[in-house]
Amino acid sequence: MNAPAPPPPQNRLLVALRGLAALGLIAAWLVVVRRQGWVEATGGAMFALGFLLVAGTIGGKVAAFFRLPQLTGYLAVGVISGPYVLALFEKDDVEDLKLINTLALALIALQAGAELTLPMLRRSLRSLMWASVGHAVIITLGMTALFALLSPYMPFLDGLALPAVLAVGLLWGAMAVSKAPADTLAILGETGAKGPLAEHALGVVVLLDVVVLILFAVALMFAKAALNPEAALSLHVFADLGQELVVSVAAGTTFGLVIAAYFWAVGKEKLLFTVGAAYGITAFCAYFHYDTLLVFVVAGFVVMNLTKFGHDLVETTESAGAAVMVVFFATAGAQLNIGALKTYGFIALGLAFGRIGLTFLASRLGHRLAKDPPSVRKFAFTSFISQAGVTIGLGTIAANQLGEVGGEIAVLVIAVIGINEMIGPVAFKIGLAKGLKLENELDQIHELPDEQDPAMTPPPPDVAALVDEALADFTYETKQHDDRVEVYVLMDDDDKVDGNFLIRHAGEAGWSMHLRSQLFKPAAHRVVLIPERGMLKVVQRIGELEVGDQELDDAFIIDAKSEASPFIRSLKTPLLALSPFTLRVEIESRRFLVAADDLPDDEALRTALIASAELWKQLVRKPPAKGPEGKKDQTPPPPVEPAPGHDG
Amino acid sequence: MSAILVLLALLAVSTLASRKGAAAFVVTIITTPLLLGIGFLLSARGLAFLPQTTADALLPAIRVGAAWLAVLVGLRAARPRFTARGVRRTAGTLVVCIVTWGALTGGVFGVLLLLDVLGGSHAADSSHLTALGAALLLGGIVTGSGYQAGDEGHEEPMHAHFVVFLSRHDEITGAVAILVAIVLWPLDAPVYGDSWLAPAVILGLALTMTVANLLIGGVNQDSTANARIALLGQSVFASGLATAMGLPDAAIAFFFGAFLAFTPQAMLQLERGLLATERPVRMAVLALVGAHLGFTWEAVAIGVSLALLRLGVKMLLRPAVGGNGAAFPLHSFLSSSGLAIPFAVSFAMTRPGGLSESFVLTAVCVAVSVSDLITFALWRRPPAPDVDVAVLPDAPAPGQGVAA
Repeated sequence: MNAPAPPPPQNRLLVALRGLAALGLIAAWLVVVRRQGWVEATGGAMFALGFLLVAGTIGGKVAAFFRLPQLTGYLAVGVISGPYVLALFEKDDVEDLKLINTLALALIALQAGAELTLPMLRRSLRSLMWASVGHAVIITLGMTALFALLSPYMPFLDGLALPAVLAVGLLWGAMAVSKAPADTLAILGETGAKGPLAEHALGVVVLLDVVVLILFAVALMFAKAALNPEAALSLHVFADLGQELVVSVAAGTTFGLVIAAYFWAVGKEKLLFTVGAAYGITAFCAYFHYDTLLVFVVAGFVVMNLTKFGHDLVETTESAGAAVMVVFFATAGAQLNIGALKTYGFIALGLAFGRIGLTFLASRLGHRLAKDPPSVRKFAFTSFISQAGVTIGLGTIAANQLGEVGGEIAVLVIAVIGINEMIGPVAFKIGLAKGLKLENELDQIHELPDEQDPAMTPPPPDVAALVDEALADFTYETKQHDDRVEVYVLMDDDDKVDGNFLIRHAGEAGWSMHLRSQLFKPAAHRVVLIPERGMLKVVQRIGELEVGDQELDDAFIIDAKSEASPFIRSLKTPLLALSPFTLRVEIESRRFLVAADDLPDDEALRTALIASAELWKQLVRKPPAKGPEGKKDQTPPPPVEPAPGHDG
Repeated sequence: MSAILVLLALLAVSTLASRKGAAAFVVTIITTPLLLGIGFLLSARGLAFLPQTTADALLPAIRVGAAWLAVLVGLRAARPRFTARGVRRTAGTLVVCIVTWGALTGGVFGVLLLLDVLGGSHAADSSHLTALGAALLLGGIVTGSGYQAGDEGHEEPMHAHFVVFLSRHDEITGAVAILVAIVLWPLDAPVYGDSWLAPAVILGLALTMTVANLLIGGVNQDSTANARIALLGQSVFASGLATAMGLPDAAIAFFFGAFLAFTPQAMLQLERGLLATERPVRMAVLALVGAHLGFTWEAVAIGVSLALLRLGVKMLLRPAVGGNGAAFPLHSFLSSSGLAIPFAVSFAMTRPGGLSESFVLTAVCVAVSVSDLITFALWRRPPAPDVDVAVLPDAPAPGQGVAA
């Protein structure tokens, strides 16, 4: 059977243009419907949700064309279509989407917690601590001073004495420490980046969101006392805060265990349960005044590090999170009041760029003290520029508790976030790319033997020769697809096409790098065959479960050391690694990936080829004889059952 | 306590209820009445765990879920594999569906007159309501029968196949019936100004969304996740726009799904992933809809009557299906509708009072539940050994169920 030709590389321009054409069609309907008077000015929350989903997806593609983060596209769509620019829907419609944003925040925090593994924390503890201290001290104090300097240009501070201005400035400084875990996770997810820089960015962002709670509570206490002379300073706030944090950690631990218990006991409808749990825990936290973000982060951390269901949780949150993320960021864009930028444009610019400068300073100082690797020292600060939901939340609290001044602070927060969100994701994506490049270069230098010239790179394997060797028993044809892909069509005795091999370098595929770094660190000489369809999902499960589980009965794991035949023998062996080469094989409509781990490139390819050929023999050709005298068993292999599914 | 906590309770109970308790076989078939019942028990009219304001706050979730279900039903209903049948059998099945619809429409209207529910008024609005209510009941569905017939292996593949086959014709007929009802009994909204305008807008919007989906290139040139997001967004957008115009949003979603089914073969690949979303969405929608039901004796009586009437008509018309149609098991004609409740939700949302005061929604839910329970009662009988049915050209092989 001929495998379909692999899709051509994405033409980002074409994809973006097609997306814009689709958006044009949808917009045409809007124009017609409104001109004909068939609808009122807006179509309600459902209309807003649908529009943001479609336009956000397209906006992400357009952003990708310009090599910008997709979330920048989501945000831009929200800003442009939102109530403050084109007003395709109203502010109330955006408010009605709160239900989805609640889910988004929960999933983001769960995923962030699950990304924090104990080994990673052990590796990065010193770095995280110094970075957090640096940010907390330098940004808080620096922004307080900057705020005081700019206070003459803020009319809402007129008439306030210097101590009061400083107190409000301290509040602003505390808010400036907050970061955007959602942005960080979204960029890391989009790029598939792993390594010290990515770990550091995520760790610091999550840690600082706990630190900022303490800073903000203290600063708010001072600000309230300064703005209202009748209010006395009360140390009860520290007790309350401590209690809240401790109880939040306890609640997060409990909920993490509950989630793991469900995964263990029921194990089905995980998505439905996770969504329900996200809403339920949010309500629980609101009712008891726990810190929602911390509770979810701890829950995710517990599931990942104390149970074996961490990858299940990540998989579930990712599957639910894709659509939710689009809405979350697009809604965030729609909430950005462009009018606030007009009102406080100059001030907001000063505060935003001042924060970026202080972030850079704090990062460099912290990294120097922690002796971080070069990629972190140079580029980690780019991950700390964005601000989003957490900061908006703090601004809302300030507005509720500080009267008129607080209200204006909240407006100013929105204006500054607008600037930070324009710069932050883009800067992080660029910083991440440069940091990863630097890490790769350093890795290559470290891996070379001392006597070898660093400028020398190993020659690429002779693919054709290896194929000749590995497939010596087979008849095959070669088709050159492009520079990176070759297709080898196996023929049986009647020259009937029975299968083909599609070979590509796994390093070219983002998922492969991700898998290698994330899931298969322990190295061993093994070959892995897994069904191609849904491969990421299955691979992750293999990492946790044993092959032979009901859902993995098509998976094969082969020990390369034992040569290729008999190779389908270790169905209970945990998956260990993925190869620099992966082969996609289609045999009788069944698709497999073949990979050989931790071997030199030519060995990996040869092993994978031999394994594929053996698999082909097992599935298509006559199976080896079991009877006397080596007589071949003529019984054809049993037909391959399609994956179970239902039509209804 | 907030709406969110109640939602959690609904989902958790629903999830567990669908998995635990009696045998999974039983629970699967009676999922619809079970979840509707759970929702009702939690509601203000039941045990009052769920205040009415909270139930109302969850309406957007119901609407998004219902629209998504309608897309999935449309996607399945129009898949070429299941429509390219023998002309005689297809025609016979359609006749059964149409006659059943006619009988139900007339029957409902008669019952309403007898019960004086219409209050002596035969206004267009009431007629529209009754016609829709009848049409909604046409949708046969796979969700109850297909699951256990196909995957659980409780039914012979041939029978399971016919459940699917018949229910798809039911769905298509039901959706067309909605368009006819709109033409015959237009509502008081600008888009109904011209008698053919509203159906044209429904079909046009669905077609536009299909073209937009192709342009976005969700299938061949994009990741499955992005394609699914775009598809969900288009469904919700079209449904939102339809609601704003006073059109039944589930109809647009259904036709959107049906048109999508004719897009390139790769769409089927996408569909495999999409179908996995149906079960959790359906469970959530059913539980949440249950919280809005207001049982009155009229609604219950009409619901039960419709279910029985539908059974009777289909029994009489079994031979029209073609071949040795009389030998087909009765439950092939009875499966409850996956489209009925989304349509009922869609219809109720456009009426004053919304879901909670919708006579149609309650009647439809009762009828669907009764159909499911009757199906359950009939299904447990072992299939007759002397069933003599010619295997359809692409009927699944034994052991393969009805998986596409």
